[in-house]
Amino acid sequence: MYSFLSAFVGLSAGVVIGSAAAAFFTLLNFISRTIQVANARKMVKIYQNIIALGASAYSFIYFSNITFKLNNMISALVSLFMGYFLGMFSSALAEVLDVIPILSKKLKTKHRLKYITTSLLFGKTLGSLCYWLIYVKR
Amino acid sequence: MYVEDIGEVYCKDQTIKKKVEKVRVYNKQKEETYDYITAKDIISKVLDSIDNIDVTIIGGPDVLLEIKDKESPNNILEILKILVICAILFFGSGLAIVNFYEDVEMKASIEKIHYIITGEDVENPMISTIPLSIGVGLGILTFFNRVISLSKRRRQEPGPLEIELNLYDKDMEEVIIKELKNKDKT
Repeated sequence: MYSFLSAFVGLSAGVVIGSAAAAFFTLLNFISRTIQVANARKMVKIYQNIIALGASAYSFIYFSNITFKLNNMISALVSLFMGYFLGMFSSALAEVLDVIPILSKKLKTKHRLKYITTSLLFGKTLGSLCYWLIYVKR
Repeated sequence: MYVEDIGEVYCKDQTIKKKVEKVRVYNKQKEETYDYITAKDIISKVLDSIDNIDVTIIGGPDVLLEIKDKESPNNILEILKILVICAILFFGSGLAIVNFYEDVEMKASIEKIHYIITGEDVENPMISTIPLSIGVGLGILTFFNRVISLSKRRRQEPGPLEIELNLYDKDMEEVIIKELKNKDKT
């Protein structure tokens, strides 16, 4: 009886977390940007479902001790996808906070946005590399 | 590009209507670009080619043109693209959830809640974590599109993602027209 209640609490907590995560993704609106860039808007429904599926699956895997025992290279591929997502995520966060537009207005570099975004790109990649290769190893 | 490609023509006289529809307003270009036609251009072209008519334009003042090649259907590439996007979204959203759980120490809190309710001190209480995982998926689904609704009409409502896409398109069109106009002035 009490474990049933525990399951119910878990379900309701999950619904709140899930909708908050979805709201956050939509607020940052980088998923719509991805779809727009890839010119693949016919499949919007599929993308929504895949996000829900991914979050759900990972949520379960996080709590349990599952291992798939796959090749190293597959881990690299998955990490690449994760990095892609994280890159979009962080850029979208900076974009929502209007960092770049305000900076470029103050510095009067409206027509050189290309350089700003490129340097942001390299800075983020370098920062990530520094973190994993130097900081973590120490 | 003829008038009929960018809008509808209404006229009582069918022959004049046909004539107006066949007025050429834009010349073909070879490369793929964006361009625009202003309402003034359309009116002057129509008035030049046909005598004794009045033209009233209903709608926006500028028309944005997207000049494209004929799209060649490439199904394999299309499916590959969709698969890659799906993989990115799948693993990415998973990473986001794991990040969040690690940040707030979800494992300890769910065990604590399970202990409070049942009195059992278990590591990884499946009875609680599986519903939690299902709940995460359900929450995302309910945010993106209406899952539970009796009426068919409400289930067809566009979700926030579709609305965001639509807004994005509108903003982009506005910016493109503005930039093209600026370029023409200089």
